[in-house]
Amino acid sequence: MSTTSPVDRDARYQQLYGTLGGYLPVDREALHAWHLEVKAAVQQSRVAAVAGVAREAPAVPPAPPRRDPTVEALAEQIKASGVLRMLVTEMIDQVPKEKRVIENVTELLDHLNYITRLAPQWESDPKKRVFFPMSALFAEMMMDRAGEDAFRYPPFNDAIRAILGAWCRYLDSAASRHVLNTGTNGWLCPDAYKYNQLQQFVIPNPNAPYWGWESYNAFFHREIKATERPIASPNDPKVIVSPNDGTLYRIAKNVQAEDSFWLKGEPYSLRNMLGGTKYLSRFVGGYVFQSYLSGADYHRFHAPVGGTVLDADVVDGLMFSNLVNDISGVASQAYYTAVNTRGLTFIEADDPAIGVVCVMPVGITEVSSMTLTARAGTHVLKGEQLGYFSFGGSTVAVVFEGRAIKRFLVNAPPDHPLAGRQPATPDAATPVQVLVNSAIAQAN
Amino acid sequence: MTTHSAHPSPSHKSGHAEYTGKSVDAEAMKREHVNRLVVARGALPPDFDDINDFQKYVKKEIAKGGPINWNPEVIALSKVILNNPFVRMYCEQMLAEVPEGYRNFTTIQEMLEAINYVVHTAPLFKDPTSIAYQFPLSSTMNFWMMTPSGKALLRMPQINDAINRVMRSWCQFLNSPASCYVLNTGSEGWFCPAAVKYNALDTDYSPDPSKPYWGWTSYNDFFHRDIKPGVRPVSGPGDPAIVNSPNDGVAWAVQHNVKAVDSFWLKGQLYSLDDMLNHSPLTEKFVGGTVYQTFVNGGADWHRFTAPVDGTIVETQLIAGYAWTESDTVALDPESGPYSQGWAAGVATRGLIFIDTGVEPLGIVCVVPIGLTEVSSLSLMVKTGDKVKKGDQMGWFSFGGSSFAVVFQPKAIRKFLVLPPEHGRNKQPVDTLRTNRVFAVADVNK
Repeated sequence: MSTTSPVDRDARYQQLYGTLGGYLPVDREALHAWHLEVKAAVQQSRVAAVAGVAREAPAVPPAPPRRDPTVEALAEQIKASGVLRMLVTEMIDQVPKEKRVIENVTELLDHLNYITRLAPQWESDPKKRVFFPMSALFAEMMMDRAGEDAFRYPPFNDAIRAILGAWCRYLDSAASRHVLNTGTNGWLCPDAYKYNQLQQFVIPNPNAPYWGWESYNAFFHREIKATERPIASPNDPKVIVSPNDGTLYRIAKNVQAEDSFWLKGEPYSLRNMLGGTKYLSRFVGGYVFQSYLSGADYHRFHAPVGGTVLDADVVDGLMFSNLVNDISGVASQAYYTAVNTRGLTFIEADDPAIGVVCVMPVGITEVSSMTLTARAGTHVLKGEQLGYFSFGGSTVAVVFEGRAIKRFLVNAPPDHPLAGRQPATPDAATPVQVLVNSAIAQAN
Repeated sequence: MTTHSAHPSPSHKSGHAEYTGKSVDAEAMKREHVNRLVVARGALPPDFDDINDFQKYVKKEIAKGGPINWNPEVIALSKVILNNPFVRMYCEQMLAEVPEGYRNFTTIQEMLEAINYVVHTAPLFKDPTSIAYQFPLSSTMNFWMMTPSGKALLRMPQINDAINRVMRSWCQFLNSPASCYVLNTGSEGWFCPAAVKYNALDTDYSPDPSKPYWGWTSYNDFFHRDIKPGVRPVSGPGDPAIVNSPNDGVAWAVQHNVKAVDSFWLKGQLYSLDDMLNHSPLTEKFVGGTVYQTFVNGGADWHRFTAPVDGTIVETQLIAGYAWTESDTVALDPESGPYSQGWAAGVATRGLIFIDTGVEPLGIVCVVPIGLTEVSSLSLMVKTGDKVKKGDQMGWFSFGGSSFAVVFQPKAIRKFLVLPPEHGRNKQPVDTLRTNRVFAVADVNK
C-alpha cells in the first residue's frame, strides 16, 4: 500500500534531482516503459540461459550471465536479516500496482545486477532519456515511507554502496566504452556532441575508436580545454574562483556549527557537513557557496584559491535519500551536504586573510563517487585540479571562514525556486550559472 | 502484497506530514496504543496520562539538579546520535513528532538526561492502580517509539546496539545491592501490602522478612526470584505424551504449518522460522510445524522457565536482537496492534533451547524465551549436552517484559489443551498457563 498520494508522487518525481537535471525522462510513462524493457531483458536472459538458445537483439543490452558478488552479498544479507527483508519487501510493495514493475526481492536483485554491467546510452528525445539507470530503478521505490527509511538504513545503504562500487569498476573499464560511438544512441553522435558541447573538451584521439576515451567514466569526467575555463585574475589572490561548473543554489551567511538541516529552508549544519574536522570552529559564522552540476557540465573541480592542501578525504554517506518536507530532488541540495557521500578538501590559502577554504564535492545517486587528486601536504595554484566525479549527479559546496569574504561577485537569487521556495520576482527565478575558474568572490 | 489497506489508521492518513516536524495526532496515537502488545501484556498502562505523569516525575527529579552522573554508555549513545547526521535528524524529528501535551523531552540533551536518570534508578512499585513506574524505560520511551521517525531510528543497528549497551549497564546496576533500595515496605516499595498481593509474594514465593530486603540481594534477584516448592507441580512426570508449559503466561497465538520464511511483519503471517530460529541448522525440522506463543505478565508471574519435556539439549543460542521496535506495517492497522508479537519472535532479543526428546514424532522441541523492553535480558542455566527432566529450571528473565514461544515439529502435537481466544488476537486473552502444568498432548509412538 502506497504511503504517498498519486499527486504527491508525480510532484516528487518532477522534483527529483535526476528529472530536473535532465537525466530522467520528464514523461513518467517513458520511465515505466524503460523499466519494462529492462525486465524483459532480465527475464529473457534467464529463459535463454535455461534453454541455451540465442536471443534476439534486445532494445536494451542483455543481462549479465551471473550475479555480481556484491549483489549476491545483498541477497545473503536480506536472507539473514528479517528487518532488512521487511524494509526491502515493503519498499517494493508500497509502489502502487500500476507503477510497480519489480514485484519481489529477487527481481530487484536481478535488476540491480543488470545495471552493474550497464553503460548509459544517449537518447535524443528528452522525454525518453534515461541517463541515470540506478535513479530510474529506484525512482518509484524512493517515494514511499519504507523506501525513504530503507535508503537511510545503514545496512541497506552500505550494501547498495558496494554494488555501486562494482558498477563504477565496470564504468571505469574498457567494457563500458561501447556506448561511445556515433550511432543514434551513442555519445559521439551529432545530437549528443551538441548536448555535451564536446567542442569545449579535449578529445584524446578523434580518429581512434571511442575517440580515444578508455571507458565510459573517462568520457564522463573528460578534460576541458584550458582556454574554455580561463582563470580569473590569476595573479590576484583576493579574487576567489568557482571550483566547478554549475547552477548556483545558495549563498548562505553566518552558518552555524549545528543546525536542523532537515527542516524547511535547510540551514547548513557545519559539523555534519565537515565530518569531524579539527577546522570546524574556523568556519562557524562563515559562508557556504553551493552550486549543482547538470548533465552537460564539466565534471572536474578545481582550487578556488592558491594554497596548501591540509586534508583531503572522502566521507561515505547516503546516496538515494531525499528530504521529504520540501518534496525532494534539487530541493534537497543542502540536505545532501550533510548526509551524502562527499569529498572534503581543506586548503590553507596563501593569502592569510582568507584562512582555510573547504571544497566539498557531493555525490548524488548513480555511482555517487568522487576521486580527490590533490593530496594532503601538496600546494595547489588557483585553478589547479582537485579531483573529479565519477558517473552520477553532483553538487559542490565551498565553505569559507567568516572573515574571508569582502563580497560575492555573483548574485544568488535570494528566493531561488530550486531552493524549494517561491521566487519573489520573475527575475529571481533565472538560474545563475557559474563556470570553473570564474570569479565568485572578493576576499578581504 | 500488504493486506492492511482496508483500515489505514488516522495517524497514517496524515502521511508525510510527520516528516515536516509536525506532531502525530494524539488521539490516533492513543487508539494505536491500547492495541499494542506492550499494553496487552501489562508492561505499560493503557492510559497515556499515566505514562505522561511518570515522564513529568522524571523531569521534576532531573530539575532538582545536583551534579549529573553520566552513565558512560549513555555518553556513547549520544556520540552515535551526534556523529551521524541522519540519525540526529531522525532523533530530533522523533522528539518533535510526539503529540503536544506529551512532549516532555524536547531536545536530545533532555532525552539523554531522561534515559540517564532511569538507568541510575530501580523501578518503583509506587501506585497499585498504574504500572507506569514499574516499567520506567518503557514509560520514558513510549511516545518516541510510536512516532514514524522513532520507528526508523530504533531500527537502526547502531542505535539499537548503543541502547542495548545502555540496558546492559542498567542490568548490572539492577543486579547489584545498590538497587535494593526499592525493596522496602514504604508505600512505593515492593514490600508494601499492595505490592505483596500484586506479586503473590505471600502465597507463591518464600520471602524472609527477618532478613534485610527479605533475603534478596538485588532488584533483579527479587525479579527472577525462585518459586515456593510445590507451587508449580509438574504434570505427568516421565510421560512423554504430556507436554508442560515452560513458563507462566497467557496463551496468545497458535500457528500451524509454519513456513521457513514468511513476512512476519504483516498481519496474519506471524512466524518466519528461519528468522525466529536464527538460521539454526535445525530449522528445517520445524518447517510445517507449530508455534505456540504466550506472553508473561508483569506482576505475579514467575520469571523463570523450565523444561516442558524430558530430553537432551542439542543446541542453545542467545541472540542480541531489537529491543524497542514494533512492526510499523502492523501499526498502520489500528486493529492489529498485538500482532507485533510475531515481530518480536522474529527480531527481538531471545534465547533458543532445542531439546531432543528422542521420541517420535515429537522429536525436537524448541523453547524460545523472548526479552522485551526494559533490560531485555535473559540468562540460560543449561547448555548443549545437558539432560533435562520436565520441570527442571532452564533460565530466567532479568527485569523487563517477556514473551515465550515453543516450536514443535509437524505432527508432534495431537491436541493443545489451552488455546488462545478464537478470532480474538486483538482482545485481552484470558487463558492462563502455569509453569510445569500440561498444555499439550503429544503424539508419541510408545
